[in-house]
Amino acid sequence: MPDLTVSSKPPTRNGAAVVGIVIGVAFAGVGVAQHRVLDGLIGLGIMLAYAVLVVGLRRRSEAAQLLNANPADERQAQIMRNASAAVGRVVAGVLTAWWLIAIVVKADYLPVLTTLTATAGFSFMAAVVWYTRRG
Amino acid sequence: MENDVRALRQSCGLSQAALGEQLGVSRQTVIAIEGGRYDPSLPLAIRIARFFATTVEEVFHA
Repeated sequence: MPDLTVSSKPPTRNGAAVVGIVIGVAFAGVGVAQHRVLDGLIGLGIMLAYAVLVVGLRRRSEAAQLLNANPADERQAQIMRNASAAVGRVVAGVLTAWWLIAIVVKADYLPVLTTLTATAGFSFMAAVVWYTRRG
Repeated sequence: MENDVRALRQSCGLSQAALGEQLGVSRQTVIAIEGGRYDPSLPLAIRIARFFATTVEEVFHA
């Protein structure tokens, strides 16, 4: 997750691109180790493409800049908070729907989904309590 | 919320990037404020008003 606070320090340069490349290399390494070289190379290619895209467009596109570095001011921090909240809503919705389907079909992975869905629900409630107390 | 940031900036002969640098925000944020797409926080609104030697009420109005 990006750092959503605005600091007086200059924004981190290419942080997400470097992390993306590291993840891609790790993915490729796992693919080679598990004899799934093509899968590993596809994963590495996707992450390299992401890194090239966000670095190459960072001067032309604010979105690419934010996908690659921490926010530089309050508006950019708000954009990142809104984006993170949107991700949370989508993931919570997908998890809940998937959990209900898993109950219906009596899936083996139901305990995993139950744990994830409960974690999402409780962490949301804890966050609401925390932020109402902080003001 | 409407504002006079663009007019004030142009009267000073500043570019959007130069104003952003003075205020400690990005050029895109200056553009968003001028276009009325982003209402700045109270601290930033005060910084803008002080920079143009005026008041928040003079710069921002409903």
